[in-house]
Amino acid sequence: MKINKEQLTNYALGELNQEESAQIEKLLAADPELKKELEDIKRLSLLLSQELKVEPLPRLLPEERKSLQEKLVRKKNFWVLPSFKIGLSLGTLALLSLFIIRTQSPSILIEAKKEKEMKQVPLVNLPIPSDTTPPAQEIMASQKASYSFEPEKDGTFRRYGGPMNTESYDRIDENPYFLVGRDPLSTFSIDVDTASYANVRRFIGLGELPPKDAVRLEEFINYFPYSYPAPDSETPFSVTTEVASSPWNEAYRLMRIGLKGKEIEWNKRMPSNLVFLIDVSGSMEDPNKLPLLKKSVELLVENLSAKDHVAMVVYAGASGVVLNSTSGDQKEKIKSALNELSAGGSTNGGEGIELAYKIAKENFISGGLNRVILATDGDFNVGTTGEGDLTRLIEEKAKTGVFLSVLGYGMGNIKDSTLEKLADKGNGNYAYIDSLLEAKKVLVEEMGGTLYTIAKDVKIQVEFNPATVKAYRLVGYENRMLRHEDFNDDKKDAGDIGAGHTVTAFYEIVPVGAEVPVGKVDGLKYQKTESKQVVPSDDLVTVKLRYKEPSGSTSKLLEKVVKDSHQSFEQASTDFKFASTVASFGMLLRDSSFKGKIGFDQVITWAKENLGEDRGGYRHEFVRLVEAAKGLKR
Amino acid sequence: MASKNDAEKSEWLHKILVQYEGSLLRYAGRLLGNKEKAKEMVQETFVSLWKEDPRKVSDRLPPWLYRVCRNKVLDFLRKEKRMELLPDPEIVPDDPVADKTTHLGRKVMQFLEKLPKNQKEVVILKFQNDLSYKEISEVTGLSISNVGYLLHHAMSAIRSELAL
Repeated sequence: MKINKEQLTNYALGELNQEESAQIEKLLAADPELKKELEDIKRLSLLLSQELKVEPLPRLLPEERKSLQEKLVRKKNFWVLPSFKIGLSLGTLALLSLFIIRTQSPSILIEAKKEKEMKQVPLVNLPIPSDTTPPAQEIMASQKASYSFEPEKDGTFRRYGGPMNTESYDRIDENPYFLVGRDPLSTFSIDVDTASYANVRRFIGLGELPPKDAVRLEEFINYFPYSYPAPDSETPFSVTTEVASSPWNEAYRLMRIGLKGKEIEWNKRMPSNLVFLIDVSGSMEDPNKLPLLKKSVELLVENLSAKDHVAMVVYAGASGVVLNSTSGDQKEKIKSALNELSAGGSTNGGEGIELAYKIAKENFISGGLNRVILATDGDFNVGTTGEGDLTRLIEEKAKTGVFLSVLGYGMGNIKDSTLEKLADKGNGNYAYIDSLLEAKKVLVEEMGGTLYTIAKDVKIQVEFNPATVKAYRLVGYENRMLRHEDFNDDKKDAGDIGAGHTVTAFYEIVPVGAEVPVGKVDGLKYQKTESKQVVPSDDLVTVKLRYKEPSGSTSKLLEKVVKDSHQSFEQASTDFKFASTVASFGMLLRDSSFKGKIGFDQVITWAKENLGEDRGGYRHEFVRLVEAAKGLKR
Repeated sequence: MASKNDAEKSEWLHKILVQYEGSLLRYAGRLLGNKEKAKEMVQETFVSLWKEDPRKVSDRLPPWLYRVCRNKVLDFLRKEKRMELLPDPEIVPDDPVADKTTHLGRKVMQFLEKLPKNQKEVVILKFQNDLSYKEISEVTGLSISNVGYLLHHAMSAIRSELAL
């Protein structure tokens, strides 16, 4: 049978019915040429969607909204807005609209609360756990050590994208199942990074599957915004939980823990002192590096005002200040300094970073936002300082109130592992900018979350109830595992949450009565597990969270008991299903042993069923990405 | 007096306004080649929405909004005795940064401007606004198979032009 090429396009765009699709698939299986053509079409779809979505989304101005309102009143109906909305639409909508695009309930923007008001948070006092460390978690914590540049079994080094590629990724071993009888606690730090998803998208766009270790499941899940309720005025973030059947194994349960940081009203934000530390070494010359960097910083500068200050430091062979701290309303001055940047020379990041911190300190705004933003393709040659010294420096500066964020650009050179670590130590986030669309997401739509930390050192500890849970595994967060005693140790650093950020974690749970997929361990000779005293309860778990105020040094505790509502996967919320679908995609790319019978087609179906409102079109883009990945071979 | 229903409807409309005003303004701006006029058209679209019964439009909302907005634009052009949708884009002054950026995405966007207008419009509805063939057919009045035909030809043209 001869193929009608139009049908192939329709197939690539998901417009054929089952029967028609089956016919095309038959032809595709027999014809590699045709298959290649299909992949080309899918890649072009992805490209078109990305490029078209970069175009700015205009907004009606406050006075235009008012005139619309008047027109509606004339239609003999009332345009009744709750009062807070009127307040917004008259005064602040033009600026706020940038944030509104992504928030579920745009009107509920909560102003940052002062420290003293926050002291009323209801805290539950918990006894400090005794000083024993369960063996399994200990091993996991030690796995945080870097595995980059480790040779493969055959003695060669991992390489991707041809011989000149020097990208490096830390090895990730997926979290295994733990038996509740032996390890009833699970402790980890939150992570708001999204770099992994954008980086993987870049690989797929080039027609290549990403290396497994470039896929970090928590960064996939957290790339997408979810509509969790806004927090009450007492706490900086809300905590939402949901339980449904696991999509990977029907006999198991899947529990979601969702955090949502409070929004900051843009014109009431605190003043900021930003220092850009920009890599201008020779490798930054590519169009998707320095030129994209200039464009993306310009996007950010557009939204600044007189209460913000921007400075720029460059580093290559030598470092220098190209823009002294300048008020955010002098946009032309900032932009011309940006435009004059050009790439050349080798890289010595160590000196530049000290200079950037020096400028940040000189212009320090007490009670404001002080942040160094490192923009690089990752060839962060630290010169005389080793990586250890550098992370210590960043950690120290973070304690003095100057935080660090990292923007990764380009390809072929990304030192993913180093950049993630630096941002982690600097109380900041790490984003990978592969396109202007991504720059817009990170620096415009989510600017609040990128720049304004609302709670730091956020740790989660889950206690599982042996009466209901037999075993569990945490999905992702492999390099964020903590030791149990670290939970109550305020000296131990953890992840931070920014304004409006959402953070999601999943546990796959083996309920009592189901079969546990772990190796059999002999019963203990000296202890009787059954004799342990158990408090009768039908709870599933207790989730505990610790966090600090951005400038605080003692943590506060939140606690939440979760019971199983026994809903099926189909009954779960749209966000629950979409987020677990994103995790499924990551698990497929990692070829995870936990993926069950899930394939790319199932991922596409679920994603399409759970697009929700999809402001910004990220979920639609996800569908196109999975479509493009489906045809690729490792 | 504003009844409870009015308050609810107002809430409903406000939610839709916040969600869709950006993409409708962008779409109307392209159809007209004029961003200011686009604002009028989008305001008119919401005036029309206000007259609708929420229960009747809610499940077909995106195509309804784009169709009504498109019709407003056509009505306006008819009055102006100008019939052309999607005029050539406004001339943007040279951007020294963008000039150096000759990456693929930019080339694709440049070539898109050269496509026949009906092809260009379905590409925009499909990839910028994520509408399905059926929804695009509701917006433009083209048949579903015609939408597929136009998209296929647009994408084939881009691929052969840029050797993709």
